[in-house]
Amino acid sequence: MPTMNMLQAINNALDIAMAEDEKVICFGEDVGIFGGVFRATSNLQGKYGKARCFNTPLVEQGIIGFANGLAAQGSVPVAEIQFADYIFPAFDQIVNETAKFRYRSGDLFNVGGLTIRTPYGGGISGGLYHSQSPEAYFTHTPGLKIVVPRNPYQAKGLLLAAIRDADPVIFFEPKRLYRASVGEVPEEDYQLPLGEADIIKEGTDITLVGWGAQMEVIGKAVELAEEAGISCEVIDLRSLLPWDEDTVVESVLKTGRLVITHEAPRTGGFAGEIATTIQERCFLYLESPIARVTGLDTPFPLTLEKEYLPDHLKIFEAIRESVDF
Amino acid sequence: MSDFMLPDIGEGIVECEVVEWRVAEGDIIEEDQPIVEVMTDKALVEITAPEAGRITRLYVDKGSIAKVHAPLYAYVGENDSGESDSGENGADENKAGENEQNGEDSRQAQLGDSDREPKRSDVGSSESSTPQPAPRDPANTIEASAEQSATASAGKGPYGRVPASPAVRRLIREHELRLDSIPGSGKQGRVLKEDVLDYLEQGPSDNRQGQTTPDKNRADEEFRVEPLRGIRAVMAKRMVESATTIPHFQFGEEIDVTELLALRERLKPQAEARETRLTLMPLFMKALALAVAEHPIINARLNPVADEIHYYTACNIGMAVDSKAGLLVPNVKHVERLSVLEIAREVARLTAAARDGRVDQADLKGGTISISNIGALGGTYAAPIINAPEAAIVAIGKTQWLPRFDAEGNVVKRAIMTVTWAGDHRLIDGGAIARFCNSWKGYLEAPESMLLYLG
Repeated sequence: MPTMNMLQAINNALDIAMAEDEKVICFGEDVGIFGGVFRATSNLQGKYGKARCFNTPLVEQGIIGFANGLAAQGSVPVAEIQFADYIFPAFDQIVNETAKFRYRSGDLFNVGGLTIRTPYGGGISGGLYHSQSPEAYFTHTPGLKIVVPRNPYQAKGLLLAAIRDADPVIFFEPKRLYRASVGEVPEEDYQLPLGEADIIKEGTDITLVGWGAQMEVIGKAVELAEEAGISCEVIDLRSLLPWDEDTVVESVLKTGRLVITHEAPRTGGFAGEIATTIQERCFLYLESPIARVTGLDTPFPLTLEKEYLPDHLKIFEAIRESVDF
Repeated sequence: MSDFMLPDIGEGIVECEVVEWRVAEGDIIEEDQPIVEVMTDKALVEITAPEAGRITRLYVDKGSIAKVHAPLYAYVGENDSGESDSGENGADENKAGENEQNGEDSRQAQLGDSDREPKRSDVGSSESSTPQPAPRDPANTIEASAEQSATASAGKGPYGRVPASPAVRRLIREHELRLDSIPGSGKQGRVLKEDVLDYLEQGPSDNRQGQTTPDKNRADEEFRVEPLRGIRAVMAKRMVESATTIPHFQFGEEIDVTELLALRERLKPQAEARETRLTLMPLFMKALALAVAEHPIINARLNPVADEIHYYTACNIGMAVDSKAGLLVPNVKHVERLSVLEIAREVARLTAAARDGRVDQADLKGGTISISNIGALGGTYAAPIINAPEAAIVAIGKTQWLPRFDAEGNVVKRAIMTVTWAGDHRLIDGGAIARFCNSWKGYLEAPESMLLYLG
């Protein structure tokens, strides 16, 4: 099994999808001959031609508007937004058009074939416009699917599933892990299910929930916790919309404790959604308050990035507090 | 504040039963003071304090199971200055301190009722504070939840956990109760607020007893139920393993110990002069070690995959002791090197320790052959089960004065002792055990012959 980093796995998934179905089209800023700012679309233009992999003008609203039109006409567009921080110019197209297309037309038309790929998250000293995690804005919108992989294997399997899924999907790629996360990835075509969480590790004392780049941070915190004799169950949600409530509920019924972590600011973050649902369904079994370990309620800072990020020590603290409550 | 983790006390033991707490929450402790007695699979072990300080919390109830590497009790060390701690481990210590503090803050904020909340005594100024135990809910501890399901009415919810609303949990914590000791009247054993209030009114006396007889009420009708634990549980397991995996070959013999008894009578005063009580056991052992030297296969074992014979160089003779806790088999090490007097001292030491159930792990490990002196309690014959992985065991029956013929055909009065061997028939056949037993018998019937082999 070849070893790939996350970019290679994503490139590989795009290659497989384009080879299999000529309706799959990749476009975005600099994705053509340049291969995208992170090189996720390297060689695709050379392989599939300028008609199926091409550069767009610097207009996010245009990219997604165009993608909606293509998808409504039966194409399978995979649009790249260069940084998730710049997805907001396309916000109206996504939440008002993409998400409502099928509903509005009574399924006469839909844009289910659309996939929006976009790198998110901090840890690369990117400053306030290249580090944000805007997933929660979109989880508020029915009609979308939202997926976040945690490593190359997940990225390939989930991206192929996203491209082939019958609903529009926003695929958030943890850019800090693009080259940092390396692992074995099967060369062949495979898919991982959307909407299903992945129990990475079973445990009995506390449940830890996260997604994307935060899973690596959770891993480090778990090492500290297990050294302290605390048995952790670790769940990667993988999909935020829809999210796998049952898996998390089952785990919290077992452990009685929950820590949720994400990079985005706390207020209005998706952890709040999870906490509320778990509180509703596991109320009588909670041993301690559900804890959130998140980014700060500030713009994403440049020099204070390490302060801002929810690191393994902050998560470990939350675990200790929860267990010692 | 530190948690004392239950250390790994023996080979592969992962849990043990808390037999007796010698301290209570809030007690001041000295370094090396006995804190708790736990019963492992093999013996009672006394755990002592690692340093002086004050006990703040006992995580495991008497009669419950404690897990190795899980917290057993929490204490504040004498030199533990909490947050003001600085130095090499300062960072970690501070972290822990902050956690405590944050936990306290967030809890109080959460409850919004801090005056009813029993104040946790200040870690930072332990001298001035009264020794008040930290009022936490033991049901919150890591190891508690899983095991308790067996001991209390609790655990009808998913994964054996007790459902209770956070408000009820607060109430329980305020009164320093345990969630799982309160019978829940709600669905799936849910503990309701009324259950806690009723419990507080009636007092804990009745409910606490559930520890040793979980199904007390039901069991009263026909039989008394007692969980099989500790040494007894291990005996049950080991005996089944041994009896079902090792083909036992049984071999019985009579030994005339008239001479041996006489010899013992002569030696006894000398032994007593050296403050040692001389029983027959040291003589049996010494003779056994001599016989084993001639027939090493008896002092061997089969390796686990049964393709090699492992001969022991030492002759470590186990002696089955009927202790209060159950069957224990401590062994006397290197009998082949010891004098009879030295063996006698070892036997006395091990017997006393085993009767108390406080045998060191080292004394229980490494036996190579065993003697079961069932005759001390009565009974002429027994069919012993091998103490695996050893290859042989002998049960010694009681000695009786019986008529026997001497060389001239006259009837004489002789002290006759019966012995019954069990050997691992994969390793030992009838001939081997008969020859070996004859050799042993030779030394016992003519004990002076052992002199020839004085080292």
